[in-house]
Order: sequence, then structure tokens, then C-alpha cells
Amino acid sequence: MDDVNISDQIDEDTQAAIDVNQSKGDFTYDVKHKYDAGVGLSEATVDYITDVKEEPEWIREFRKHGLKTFEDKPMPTNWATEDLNNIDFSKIRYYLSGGTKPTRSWDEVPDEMKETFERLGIPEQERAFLAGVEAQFDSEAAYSNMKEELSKKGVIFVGSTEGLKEHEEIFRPYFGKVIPTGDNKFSALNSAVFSGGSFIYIPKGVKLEQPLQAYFRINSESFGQFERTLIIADEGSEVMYMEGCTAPSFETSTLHSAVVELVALKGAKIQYVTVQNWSANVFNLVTKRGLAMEDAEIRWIDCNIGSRLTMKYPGVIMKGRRARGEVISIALANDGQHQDTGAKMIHAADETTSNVVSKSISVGEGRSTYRGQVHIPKHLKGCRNNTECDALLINSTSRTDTYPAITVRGNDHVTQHEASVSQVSEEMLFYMQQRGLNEGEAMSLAVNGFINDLVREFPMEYSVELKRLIDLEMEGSVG
Amino acid sequence: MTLNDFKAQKLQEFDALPLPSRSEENWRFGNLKQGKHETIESFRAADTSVTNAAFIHSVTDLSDDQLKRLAPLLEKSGATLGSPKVTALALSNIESALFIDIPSNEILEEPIIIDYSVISASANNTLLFIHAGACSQFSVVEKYTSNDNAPSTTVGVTIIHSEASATVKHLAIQSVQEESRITFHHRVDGGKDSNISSCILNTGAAWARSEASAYLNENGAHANLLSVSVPNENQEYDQRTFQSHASPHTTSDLLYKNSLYDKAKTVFSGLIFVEEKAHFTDAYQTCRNLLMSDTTEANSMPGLEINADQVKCSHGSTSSTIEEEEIFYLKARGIDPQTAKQMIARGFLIEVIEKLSDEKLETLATEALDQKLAQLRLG
Repeated sequence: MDDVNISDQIDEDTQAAIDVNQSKGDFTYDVKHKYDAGVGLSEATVDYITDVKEEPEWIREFRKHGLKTFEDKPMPTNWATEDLNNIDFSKIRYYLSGGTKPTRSWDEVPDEMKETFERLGIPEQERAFLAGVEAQFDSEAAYSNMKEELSKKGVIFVGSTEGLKEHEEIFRPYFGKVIPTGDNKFSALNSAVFSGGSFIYIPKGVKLEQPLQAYFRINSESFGQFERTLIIADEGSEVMYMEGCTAPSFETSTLHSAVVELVALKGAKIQYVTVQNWSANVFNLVTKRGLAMEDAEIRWIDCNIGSRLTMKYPGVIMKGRRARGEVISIALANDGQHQDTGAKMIHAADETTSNVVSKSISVGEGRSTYRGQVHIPKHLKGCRNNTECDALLINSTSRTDTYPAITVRGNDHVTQHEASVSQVSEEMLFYMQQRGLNEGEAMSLAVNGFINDLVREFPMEYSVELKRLIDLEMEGSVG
Repeated sequence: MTLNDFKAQKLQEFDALPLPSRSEENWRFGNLKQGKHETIESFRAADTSVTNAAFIHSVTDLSDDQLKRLAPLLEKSGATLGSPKVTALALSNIESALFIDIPSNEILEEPIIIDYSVISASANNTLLFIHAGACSQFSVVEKYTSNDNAPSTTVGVTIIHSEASATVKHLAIQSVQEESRITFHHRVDGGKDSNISSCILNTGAAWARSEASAYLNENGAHANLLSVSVPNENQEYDQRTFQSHASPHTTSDLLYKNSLYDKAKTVFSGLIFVEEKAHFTDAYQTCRNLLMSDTTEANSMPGLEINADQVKCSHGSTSSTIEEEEIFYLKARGIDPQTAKQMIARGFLIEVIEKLSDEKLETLATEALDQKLAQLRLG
């Protein structure tokens, strides 16, 4: 009995069953770019980007400082995966900007991808954009009412370049302050070559009922390689921001390194939702951090399905009393994928609370890792942290790791951390199959059940899409 | 390998290995100033006395058969959790090592007790190798105290290897002088269906680091790794653990509890590692910190690396203070708040000691614990 392993018997089915099939988005096409910084990274590249974008001098300095820091910092392979050494920085294009329209037509989009869009219920216009048929997603028609309403309320929602040029007085004091250039090697890289991303300012007391989405803006750079996003929520305001989408997104470059900074002033609330489904050749190395002042709340809601290697540890610095930070994270790692995700909670004021809930699913030879840091310094009172991370292993070759680090100084705090690892048990599958579900449906139900309480935290349309995505792939796999 | 070869090899390792550095995960949050042991060039054996000595031998005084049994233990004696360099130097003093060799089916009623008196102003080593024959049952206690009231350095190595179905209980009680430093390297290797418990009780030293690992390479092996620590003032306890599962149906359970007073600091870093073929593993890891003063610092890094299927693993870590309600409950029954806190802390720590499920060992551990708690009360 020793080596009997139920998963061995269902390997192929389940592997296919849970496979989200990134290859559906894995196609490329030629685009003629008006501006191209060429291959490789040097001071000239940085100068080129600044010149093309006609940025002010302080940004040029900022970029050069970023480049130097990037070159000085070693790869963090003393704790991170050796796979990072496979990135060849000299073969990457650091800046591309359109001008001409892509030549691909809707007829050329693979049928499977159309099918996926159909089943996920993605709106017609978004499909064209996601498939790379349109370089820009025309948001005017779909969201014009909303945009008008936004500007009436004084909300600024522009690209990062426009932000730093047109709104310097708001942009500059916070830019690079939550995540300093030297935070890590990849935040330094982003500081040197950033382009694209959003700048959002929500005025005092404005509560946005509808979430803002990255592709509302007419800007081909919004899904950029080195996007830089800064969101400032002024006192008492509320905003939810969403980026990415459940459908596979095409990506021609292999390195994606974004920096996202959030600032929630007194009593403000920011929710940042990400669904990442890059194709399986992408290194996704992202730095995300928020600064929460008194009574403010920052929530990161994060779902990672695609990419070859994702390293992403959204953080919240709770700087004001009673500030609150939360990270909710779902990761799915398939063959050849490593989802290295986690959370950083830095308590820097009394009575601050933080919560981390992370669930990962490892399929086939996929590997998922949770890394966390909770820091409660001396002289603080009444801080609380709760961390839970659960892992589900589907196959005998799947792998999962957990490496939290919790520092508590002083005695008026409560922290707790729990992690568990489990698999879909034979009994569970048998029970469901006995009631007429086939194996794929049963596995799908079990996986959906595992992440159900987190999926509910996503905005409705996202959670519906996520569920469909898993169901869809299950159905197709069982004959 | 002869003992002389082993000695030469360890000296060579000592020369070749680098000093611990900040970039090592094993030294995250750790105190490198203490851990580097830069100035130490050689070790001397701590003064040792033994109770119940029937099966304990000096390694220089072994039969060929016994040397054969010792060999695999020597092979696995190198440290892997951050202090290999200083441990190699301590191990090079191999002629001072003791070997407990328990024959198959032997059942000892009384624990083997080894008293170490570490000598001040010098670097002490204690080296203990334990071989548990098939179906044997016994317990071993190591007690560390200082010979006078001056600081010392100690490296204690304990390597336990068990054959099938053996039951071994090991308890190390550390209460050396308060400005001293001490490093433990404990390793247990569990044979088929064996059951090994290893517990460290820390009350003394300015800086105590324990590196404890359990290797479960045969079906049905079970290991308990336990620790109780009561640091106060500026005491710093650094705990690194490793639970390795390489065969199916192996189980391990780790429970570390710290009760921190004054400016005390603890670091706990543990890893459960489940190899690819080690299906049906059950492994648990819990670290609990009770923060008794508002200037304490507790760091916990519980870790899991799972490569197998049909595995039940969990880890948990908590840090908190005593709830006001609990103190109120005892106050309402006429107990003053100071005593109430001590009672709760004692109860919290005793849970670990009870896991040894051996009355004699529990008594010894509880005595050492109560001694420290009484000291805290006076201060």
C-alpha cells in the first residue's frame, strides 16, 4: 500500500482539467512601432525614453538613479528561485510605442481563443483588444457616461506620463515614496525604464461606486511591460481599481516588471484587484505597496494564473492609527510555472490591523510559494495580524512551499499564522462521482470549493469569470 | 573511517567553510556577532559526569562492532542549519565524545543523566552520539550548567540514530551563566516505526542558538521536536529547525513555546521538507510566543516545502500577550495579578514538557522551569 497514490491514476485527466491553458493567448504578431528604444539597457536607452516622452529633467535624473541602482543590486537568488538567472537583460526591448495600428484581423484570431472569450462572456469590444486586433481598447462608447461623471467629481484618471507632466503638484510628492527606487532590483529597473500605467487621484470625500478599470483609458500602454501606477485617495474617499482580466492575454515580451504605489490618506479606502493571466513564458516580477494613514484601509485582491515565474508580494504600510491592510490572494501554478506570491504587512502605528489570506493550487509539476512578512515594531500598542495560507496539491509531482516571517516586538499585540497543505481526497471525488458528476466536474467543484470564499471577494463579474474559467477547462478535458 | 581521519576531516572543513553571513536565510533576524565565533581556535571538553553509566562509553574505548555502529552517526554529524564551521571545529575534538550504545530489546527504566559543567572563559564542546538498537526503550538527559559565575562559550552536539521500533526520549536542559553563549546542534534519524522525542529547555545564557533536525527516512518513523524557553532581561534565543520526510507514512510533530520577559528576543525558523516519494506524510509545526513585557521581540518564520502527494502538513505560529480576562478570572478567585500571570505562563509552557510523556523527564524539566520562574518573580 505504501506507494499507492490516487492522484497517479487521474493524473492526465486532472492535469488537463485544471490547466487554464495559457497557450490560447500565446501568439504574437508583427507591429511596426513608431518609437523603439532597441534591445538592451544603457544610459542611452533611458535618455531615449525621456526624450521621446518629453519628460521633465527630474524624471531623467530619477530614471538614471534607477538604472544605477538596478546595476548595483545583485539578483536576490539567495532566497528566490535560481530561475531568475535565466533572464537575459541584454535581449529585452525596454521601450516600444505604437503609432501604427496592428495588422492582425479578427479572422486570424485562433478559434480556441474566440471560444474562450465566448464562454467567459467577454464583451465584444474587449475581445478585439485582448486578442491584439486593436492596439487600443475603445472605451469611449462603453464608458463615456462614467468618464463624464468622474471628471465632474474631480477624479483624475490618466496615464502615468500625463500624470507627472500635468499634475506634478499632486504626483511628485508621492511618486517613488511608497516604493523607493532601491527597494529591490526590479523596482529599480522599473524606475529606470517605466512607461504606461495609471495615475489616479480621488478628491476628498469622493466615493466611487463603480470600479475603475485599467482599460477604461485610451492608452495602448496600459498593459505595458514596465507600467508604473500611482493611486492617491484623498481623505475619506473610496476607490476600487481593477487591472488585468481572466481571459488569457497575449504578451510578446518575456519580462514584466511593474511598480504600483497606493496612498490612502486619512479615512480613505483603496481596493486594488489584479487578475494576472500572462502567457507561460513571462517573468512577472512586480512590486506593489500601499501606504495607509489614519483610519485608512488598503486591500490587495490578487489572482495569479499565468506567467512562468511570478514574484509578487503586495504590501501595506500602516502608518496611521487604526489603519488596516489586507491581502487576499489566489494562485494557480501549472506545469512549468512558479507562482511565488505573498504579502508584507508593516505595522507602524498603534491599533493597526492586517489580514492575509492566501490560497494556492499546484497542478502537474507546478510550484506555488507563499512568502510573507509581518512586522510589528516596539512601542506600538494593540496591533493585530492574522495570516492564513492554504495550499492544494493536485498531482504527486506538484509542489508547494510556505515561508512566512513574523516579527513582533512589545506585548500588546496579537499575531497568528496558520498554513495547511491538502489535496483533493479520493473520498471527496468518489462521493461526487457517485452522485453523477464526472471526474472533471468533481475536480472542478472541489477546486472551486477550495477557493470559493476568496473568489467572492472579487468584483462580481470577475468572480463569475474565474469560476467559468475553471469549469470550462474541466469540461473540455473529460471524455 | 578512523577517529583520526574524522578529526582531520573536520579540521579541514573548519578551515574551508566560510563564516556565517547576513545573506544566509539561516541567519535572518539572527545575531551574527554572537554566531560567528570568529576568535575561537580550539575547543576543550566540558567537565562531564554521568548517572546510570552502564551503556555509555568514551569513543576512544570502543570495540570494532561499536565503531561500526558509530560510523554512520559520525558521517551525519555535520551541522546544516547555519553553524557548520564552528560545529566542525567542535567535532574535531572527537576523542572527547561519548557514545551511548543501547543493545536491541534493552529497556531502561531509569534515564541516563549526563551533567556538563562548562568552564568559564573558554570554548567548551560536548559531543554525544546515541545509537538505539531495535526495539530498545530509554531516555537521556543532558544538563548544562556553568562551573562558576563567569561567561563561557559552548557548542553541544547530540546525534541520535535509531534502529527499527526503538523509543528514545532526549532532554537537554540549558541553564548556563547569563553572559555565556551556547550553540546546540541536535540531529535525530528515525528508523522504521521508531519514535524519537527530543526536547530543549532554555533558561540560561545571553545568547543560545539551537539547530535541531529530524530525518525520517524509513516508513513509520515518528519524531517529536520540542522546546521550552524562558528568556528575560537581554537574553536572546535563536531556534532553527528542520523536519525532513523522505519515506512514506512518516510523521513529525514540532512544538516550540517561548515565554518572553523584559527585553528578551527570540527567533524561530522552522522548515518542514517533504520529498517527492514521501506520500502519506503527516507533519506539524507550531511555534507559540507569550509576550510578558512590552519590550520583548519575537520573530517567527515557519516554513513548508512539500513535493509529495497525500500529505497532511500544517504550521502555525502565534505571538500574543495574556488576555485580561484570564487574569481577571484568577483575580476573582483571590489570586494576585502577578501570581496569576506566572500561573498562566507556567501552564502554557508545561504543555510542551508533558509531551515527553515520561514522568522522570517531566519532573527534571519542570524543576528547571520552576527555578527560572521563581527567579523572575524575585526580580
